[in-house]
Amino acid sequence: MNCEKFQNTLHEYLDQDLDTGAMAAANRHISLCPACRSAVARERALAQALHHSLSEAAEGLSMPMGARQGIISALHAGPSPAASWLRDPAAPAFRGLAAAAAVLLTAGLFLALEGSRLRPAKRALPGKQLNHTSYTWTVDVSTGAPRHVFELRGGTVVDSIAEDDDGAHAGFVADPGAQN
Amino acid sequence: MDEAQLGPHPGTPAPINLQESLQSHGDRLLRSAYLLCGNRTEAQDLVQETYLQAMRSIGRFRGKSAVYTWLYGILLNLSRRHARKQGRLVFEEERVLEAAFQAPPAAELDRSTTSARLEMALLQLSPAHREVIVLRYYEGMKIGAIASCLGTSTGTVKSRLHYAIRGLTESIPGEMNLFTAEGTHIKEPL
Repeated sequence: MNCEKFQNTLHEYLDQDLDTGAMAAANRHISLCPACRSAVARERALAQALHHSLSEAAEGLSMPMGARQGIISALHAGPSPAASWLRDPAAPAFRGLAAAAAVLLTAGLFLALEGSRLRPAKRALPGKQLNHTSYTWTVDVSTGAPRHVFELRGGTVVDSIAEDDDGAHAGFVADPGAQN
Repeated sequence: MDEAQLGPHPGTPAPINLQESLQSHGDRLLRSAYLLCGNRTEAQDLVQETYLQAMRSIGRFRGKSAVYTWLYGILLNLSRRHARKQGRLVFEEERVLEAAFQAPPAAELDRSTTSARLEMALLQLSPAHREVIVLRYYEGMKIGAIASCLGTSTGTVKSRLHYAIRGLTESIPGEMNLFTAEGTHIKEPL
């Protein structure tokens, strides 16, 4: 065995995980090689120093009684898949539910907007002109955006800015009459 | 039948009693979890989730490894997932910098400087490098067992150990002599 091979198997040598022949060869090598003997000493010293320091760093830590009791209660209660995915927002079930909720929300908003456009037209009597019919949505935002109001005046959509008292609302007016 | 005492399969040698395991291994797992994540509360959460996941997957335990090794594998997976979620690299760097500029808590006043510095240096390592340090030098696992636990080769484990030790050496001042045989009281037995 040469130095390179010994260094490559240093950890296995220390773990005594080499087979009988390799272990004998390693022992022969370090009996003749001061550098590899020193490497063994360094690694052993390192292992002991690190174990001591890491043990000291984590010393005294123990599971609090409350946490321990919580685990024991959960163990006795048995597996709870629902609790599992609720605890983990990255779980597939949670992601699927979130996606479904997003789709429903989007569809709801779309239907609400489209419905508000179509309803007045369906209800209108033949020949009756819809003028100045408007619907207003006010959206609360946290910025100090001014309030925009769109109005239909004589067939022309007018964009005006109506400042609120606190200036903290933005709004718009949909005019279904303009679609007819 | 009590879930905490469920066995893996009808033909397996001995049923796992997770409640007994909590009594015997809970604190040891907690200390390892703390060294892996660097935060006591997170470490408690990791141990708690380890046991809950063990309960859910107890049917997959084949008894080829010790219960502690099996639980430790679960803990490692949770620790990695947790680190990914937290964007751990940036967070840890901030935490280490904070720790470096803050006075040590009263509970740490009696702790040796070497341990405290090592703890901080450990947090600066990547999760993969920190894992091998904790497994090898705190848990005292053999290289082959670490490779098996991490699902990688012994060569990879040794390579990670090499770079992890290099990282620690760079983080800890040389005068602490942690990484030299001369700095310890160990006599070469050969």
